[in-house]
Amino acid sequence: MNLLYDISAVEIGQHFYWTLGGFQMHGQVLINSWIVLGLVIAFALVTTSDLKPVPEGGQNLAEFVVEYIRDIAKTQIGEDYKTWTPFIGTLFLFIFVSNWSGALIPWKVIELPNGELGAPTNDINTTVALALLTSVAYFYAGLKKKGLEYFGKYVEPTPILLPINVLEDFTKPLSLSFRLFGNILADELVVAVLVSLVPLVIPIPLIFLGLFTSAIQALIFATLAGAYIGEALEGH
Amino acid sequence: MVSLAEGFGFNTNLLETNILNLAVVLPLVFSLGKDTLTSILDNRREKILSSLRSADDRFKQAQLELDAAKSELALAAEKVKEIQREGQKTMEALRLEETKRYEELHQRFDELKEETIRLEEEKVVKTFRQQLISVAFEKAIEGIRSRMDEKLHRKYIDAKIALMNSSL
Repeated sequence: MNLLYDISAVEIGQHFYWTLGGFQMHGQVLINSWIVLGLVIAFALVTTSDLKPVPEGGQNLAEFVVEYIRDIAKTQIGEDYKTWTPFIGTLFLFIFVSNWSGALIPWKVIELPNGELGAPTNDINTTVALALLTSVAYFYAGLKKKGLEYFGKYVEPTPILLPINVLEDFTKPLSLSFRLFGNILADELVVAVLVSLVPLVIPIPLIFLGLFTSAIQALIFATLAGAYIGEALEGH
Repeated sequence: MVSLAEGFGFNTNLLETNILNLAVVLPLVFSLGKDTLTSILDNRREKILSSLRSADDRFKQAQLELDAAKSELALAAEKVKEIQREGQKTMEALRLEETKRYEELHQRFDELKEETIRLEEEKVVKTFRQQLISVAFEKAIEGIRSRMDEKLHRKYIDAKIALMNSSL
């Protein structure tokens, strides 16, 4: 009976707590975030260390990625896309690498005192942080471009919609963070549960499904962030 | 009942850590991703290369056109110089002709002047001569009239008659 429990162990809501200035932090998420940041930064440094007029290998890949992100920003934001491309790119790359690292790297090999390593985006704190940054970004973009007139869009097309419009602006980070968090956590949980039930072969298609959805989630987050910023910038 | 690990460590349970599945997934993802990525990247590189090449071609074309235009410019400059030289020559010739004509005119005027002076002189001399003759005639007639008396008259008539007789 004990053996069976050992096989079917799935940890939910367990965290490796760190305490800093009276705040409790999820240490495993921070460790994973740093690893992801390290990966992204290392990729950027390695690929751009030796730039050539005709891109080869890593430089070509990096340029392709930058072009891809720029296209997302351009289609979503419009004419002012250049200011916001770094932000959108940061979001996309961080989320994408987070999601894929969670699915592809066997984190469970490393044991923590409590909780387990995984994608940083499977923790609501990470996704809320990203979504709030996005929220700040579109408020900043709108206010910087139009000043206080930005809030004029709340009474358009009719003042009756004022509460709905205000609510919409403040529920955007909510939907962004919950969508990402829910998808990634669900992916990892499905795989983890299946692994605990049928350890071999069966989880493989689901891992692929997870890869697909997590890539899509990264794209959706970046696209939506761009769309919100574009919406804030566009004049009615 | 959840198994909680105490402290950091490594879990070497192959089934629990999902390593076997990932060992299948990772190579698959890498091979698939590598294929698509390399084809995309190769395409991109090819596109960049071709655009660079076409830019190079256009540069060369432009260079050629520039060279042609430069040579044409040089030709035109030479032509301008030639035209200038010719113009100077023509001007010189015109000036020469002008002076020649002027001299000719001058000469002709001089000749005319001399002729006129000569004619005037002749006229004056002629008039003077006529006056002289008429004065001489008057003086002669006057002398004849003052010295003519009966005796002389008779002598003259006789001489005339004798002259007539001898001629008959």
